[in-house]
Amino acid sequence: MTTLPAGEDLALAEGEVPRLQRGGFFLRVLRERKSAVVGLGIIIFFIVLSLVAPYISPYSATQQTCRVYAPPSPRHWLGCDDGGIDMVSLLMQGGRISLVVGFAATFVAMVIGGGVGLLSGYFGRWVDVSLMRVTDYLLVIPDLVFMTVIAAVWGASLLHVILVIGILEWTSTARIIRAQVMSLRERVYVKRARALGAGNARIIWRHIMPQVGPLIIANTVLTIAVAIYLETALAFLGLEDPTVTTWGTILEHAFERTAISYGAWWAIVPDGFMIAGLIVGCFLFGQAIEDALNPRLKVANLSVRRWRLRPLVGRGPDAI
Amino acid sequence: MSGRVPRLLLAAVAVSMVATACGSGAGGSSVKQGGLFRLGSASSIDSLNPFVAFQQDAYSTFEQIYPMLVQYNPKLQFVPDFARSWQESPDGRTWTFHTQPNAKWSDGKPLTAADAAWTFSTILKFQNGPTANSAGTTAHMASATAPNATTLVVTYKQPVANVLSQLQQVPILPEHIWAKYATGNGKALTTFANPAPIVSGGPFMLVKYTPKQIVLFKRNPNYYGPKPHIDELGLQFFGTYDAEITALKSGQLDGIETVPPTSVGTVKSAGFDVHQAPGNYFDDFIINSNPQQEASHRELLNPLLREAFDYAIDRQAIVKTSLLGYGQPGSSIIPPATGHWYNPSVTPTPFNLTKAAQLLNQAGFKMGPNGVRIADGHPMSYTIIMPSDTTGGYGDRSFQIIQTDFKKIGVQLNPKNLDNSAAFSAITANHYRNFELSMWDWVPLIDPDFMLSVLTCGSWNVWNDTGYCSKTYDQVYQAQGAAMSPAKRQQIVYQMQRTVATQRPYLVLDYADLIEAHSKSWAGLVTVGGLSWCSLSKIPFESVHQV
Amino acid sequence: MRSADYVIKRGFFALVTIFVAITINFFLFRILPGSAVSDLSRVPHASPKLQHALTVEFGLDKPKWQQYLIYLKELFHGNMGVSFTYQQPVSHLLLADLKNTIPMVTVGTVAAIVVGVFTGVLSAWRRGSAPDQVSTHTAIFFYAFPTQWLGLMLLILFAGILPAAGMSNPFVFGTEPFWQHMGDIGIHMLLPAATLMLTAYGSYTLVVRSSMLETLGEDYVLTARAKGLPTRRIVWRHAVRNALLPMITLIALELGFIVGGVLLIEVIFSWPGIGLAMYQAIGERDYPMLEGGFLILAISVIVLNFIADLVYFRLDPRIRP
Repeated sequence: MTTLPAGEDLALAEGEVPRLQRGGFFLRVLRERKSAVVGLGIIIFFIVLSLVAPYISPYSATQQTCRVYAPPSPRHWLGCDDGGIDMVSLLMQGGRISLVVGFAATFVAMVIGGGVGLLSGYFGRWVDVSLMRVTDYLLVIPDLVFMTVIAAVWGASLLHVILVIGILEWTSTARIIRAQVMSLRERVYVKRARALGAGNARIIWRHIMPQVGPLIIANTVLTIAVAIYLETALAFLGLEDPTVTTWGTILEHAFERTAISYGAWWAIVPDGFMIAGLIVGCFLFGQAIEDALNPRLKVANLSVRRWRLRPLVGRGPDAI
Repeated sequence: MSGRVPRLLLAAVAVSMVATACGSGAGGSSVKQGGLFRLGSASSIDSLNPFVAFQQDAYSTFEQIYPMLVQYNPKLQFVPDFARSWQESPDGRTWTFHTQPNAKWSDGKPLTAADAAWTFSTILKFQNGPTANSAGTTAHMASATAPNATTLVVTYKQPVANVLSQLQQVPILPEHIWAKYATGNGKALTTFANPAPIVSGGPFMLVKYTPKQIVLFKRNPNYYGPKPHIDELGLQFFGTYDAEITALKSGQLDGIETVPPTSVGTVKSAGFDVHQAPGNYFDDFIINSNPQQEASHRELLNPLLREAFDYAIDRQAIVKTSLLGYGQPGSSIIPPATGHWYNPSVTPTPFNLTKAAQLLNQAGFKMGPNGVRIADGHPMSYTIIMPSDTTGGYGDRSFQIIQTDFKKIGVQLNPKNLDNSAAFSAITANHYRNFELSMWDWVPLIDPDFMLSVLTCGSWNVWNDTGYCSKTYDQVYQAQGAAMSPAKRQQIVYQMQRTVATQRPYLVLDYADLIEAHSKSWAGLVTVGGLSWCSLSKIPFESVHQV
Repeated sequence: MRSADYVIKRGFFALVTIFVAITINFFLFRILPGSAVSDLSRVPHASPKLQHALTVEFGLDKPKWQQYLIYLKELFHGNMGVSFTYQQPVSHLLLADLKNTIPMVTVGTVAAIVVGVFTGVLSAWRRGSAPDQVSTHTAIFFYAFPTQWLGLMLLILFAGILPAAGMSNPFVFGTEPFWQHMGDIGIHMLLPAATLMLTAYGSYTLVVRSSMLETLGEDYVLTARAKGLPTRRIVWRHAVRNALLPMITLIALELGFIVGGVLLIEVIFSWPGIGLAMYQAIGERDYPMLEGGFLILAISVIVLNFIADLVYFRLDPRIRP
């Protein structure tokens, strides 16, 4: 959807000095917005949990340690799944892999999107027009359906899921980067650097990249949320390797093995809360940064791809 | 959820069947008449054309709407269906059937032996083309004629031991409807959709069919056999077991075909009649047995390797975790549920990882880096073809158990998921040279002939999914097919099972139980071969009645 | 002039995108993979006659570029090949399924919009207070829960009370009275539509809320308040109207999400629509059905986007083509 000119939304006002000087910015955001703290806290919690999971996990996440669909008990706080595997351990282990998938897919998306945005913003003209056209087309085609058919043809595996999410979720990154690059390209200091003889690569690296840093971080965090969401959807449809444990395959196993008619709500409910928790955390944090960067990011920002739980939040204390 | 089913198949044979007070469909006035029985299925019908269909639900449908010459009773004996009696000639080559007199199709036209003769002759005529799927049932048949309206004479080129078992599977079609499609090269036989309402000859008429959703039947007033007590019958298709079971529990269904292991407890405690029986069905692990297979994995032919794999499979765990105890560890390719055909001396190999490792060491396959053994210079890391029949249900769990255990003895399994057709293509590719391992399942017939035929050289590219081919085996198979003395035949069949268990083209994992359930407001739903809705008999739905 | 320009431009864009989708489809299903996928004539258990007919129809023995043109031609005639599972034309099967999906999606999306607008207005009106916080955070949470999880939760909660599967009671021998049949479908539609509503409304709430806040802070609103006009009228007249534009944009952007959600919802509730058809096609690896399903869904979304473009333009004449 490109009814609004893409360049306008995220650009800083002409002449406005970007307030994006590294650390100070982030601390300010954290100080000003409670939601950012909560969001970051949640994200860190999940990362730490994933890192220590192998050490604090009460039971194995691959071996059977209880009865199939055992209900929650003092020994197994969240009961067991259809394979007799402890739910708590599964959720921790699943979190690890889900996060890895989220990060990896986002990495792919960032690389592609960043590259496209950079090229588009920096070189402009026909490069820009054609790349942005491609972006537009991809934006309209429904992503989950597209991913579903790609994964169905390619084969069910973790790597394929990562790649498939990555190659369809880069559009938002590309637009953001492009907009920033375009506006920054005109900055005085870039012109000065060029006058001094700096080549394109050097200009891109030294002058443009640092400025878009926080925006990239915000975008990354939001893309991670989207990636995790999509991973669960693909796993549910049977497009992920069922022998791998992710939050998505946990739901898929429960569904396939009649957890509902069994009454094994513990195989379903906690999993959803974990996923939602992480996504909300990413959302809060990413949102807060994007707001702080440009409070005038309002409704206009709908040009950014929807999957981003991205709203348009108002200013100052009204922001979410 | 269909095991690979030979054209006309299946079903499990139960060892003990319950024949209820209503017996086999006797229309006693003491029994409540009328009603609609709503059945649920987690599978589907692929086609209503008997020459095209492959799904079990389609075959079971044909059983209800078309006459067959004979059928099974709950004790798995052959009893009359359209044929009231039959005789076999002394040389075993001519069979004479006496069919029901004054029978009619549901549209009023006469139903005679001529329809049966036409059906068999048509299958014979086009067996290399349109009717190839059914050709197995008329193997070695020479001719089928109807000298008069109630006599059918079938002649064979050589004595065939399992005539009744074969003919039981063939739905007799109304010649006056189908004849026009059998002209020319007969290709129209496979394109005719046979849409509802179907001209039927069985206890029920098919009146409505919405693909993937519902098929509805009404009692056939012109049926030659015992009238069903119920007026109407419906079969609803569900995408998932959960949906089906929820529908049962909330009273939207009266019975369901298959209860998955994880739901048995819930269904029982919800107050339904749950019927469990050993299944004529097995899950298997396939090892490429083609002596000409690619050198890169020819070590798979090594008997020590096969024995090691056998010991490395934890069948108890599979039965406990995948089947939740509703099954038995697997051994022979002729399941115990077939009754006297199963060779009891072929027992499940016990789970013993130490022994497995020992055998691999003995074969000279040393442990390499990364915990994977080296065999003939390359790592023991194999691609295992997983058809869609196997995945998505408890097959995933079974595979996970096997994969984890194999890892412990230094063998790596890499799954490759394919649809059934592509999986079979992958197995048969390059004359069975390429593939390494696979996991699939079988639903053998009650008569062992079919299952044994799968391993013959002649079944290459037809049903053989192992690459196994041995002249000796083929000879013994022929002998069993021609053995006219049941005792002699059983002996040969037992011998063949021992051979297969020693050579191990298949490692039989488990025999899954057949579990079905119905509401207590219905009675008389007997099972034949463990199932009431099946392609073995019309008796269950003739007998079922409201309480 | 201007509007004609805009319509043509957006229309052209829609057509090109459809064309891109078709090409991607061809590339994905016929060029890249092995013959297990790309061979349309590989209909399992099909008669050689059928297989040959397909080979001829789709030019499967010709070079790829020729196949592409033939593919376009066949597509134009509505021929998408034959389903591997059912041996019936893909287009017949899928269009029948699509007819079942549309009512459910419509009801669910409309419900999401209504709930979203309502909660968004409420939140903006009571900005900063507890209802606002609750409403907004609930919206975010429902949005964050995976669609399939929400469906499973509704199933757990309502399994005995509402129908858990299918579109209507199938055991109907004759024809039911129209309204009874509609009622039957309606009851079956409750849970799937409710799931769609819950999963989609969150973003609408946030959009409406923020855009209302925007408008409420605008000069003319402050002026109206200063003049003493009743505030309720202000809200409803100006703010909600102004919130519509971004809503439409969001709805259009969300279409991909809704379609994805429908896929998951139909699987959970066995709703016999195009989503369930695709899911079953995945399980059975029925590639022609997948190919057709993707195309139909992509084209639907593209067309709906185009319509949204038109509506947007109609509501906001400030847009320059």
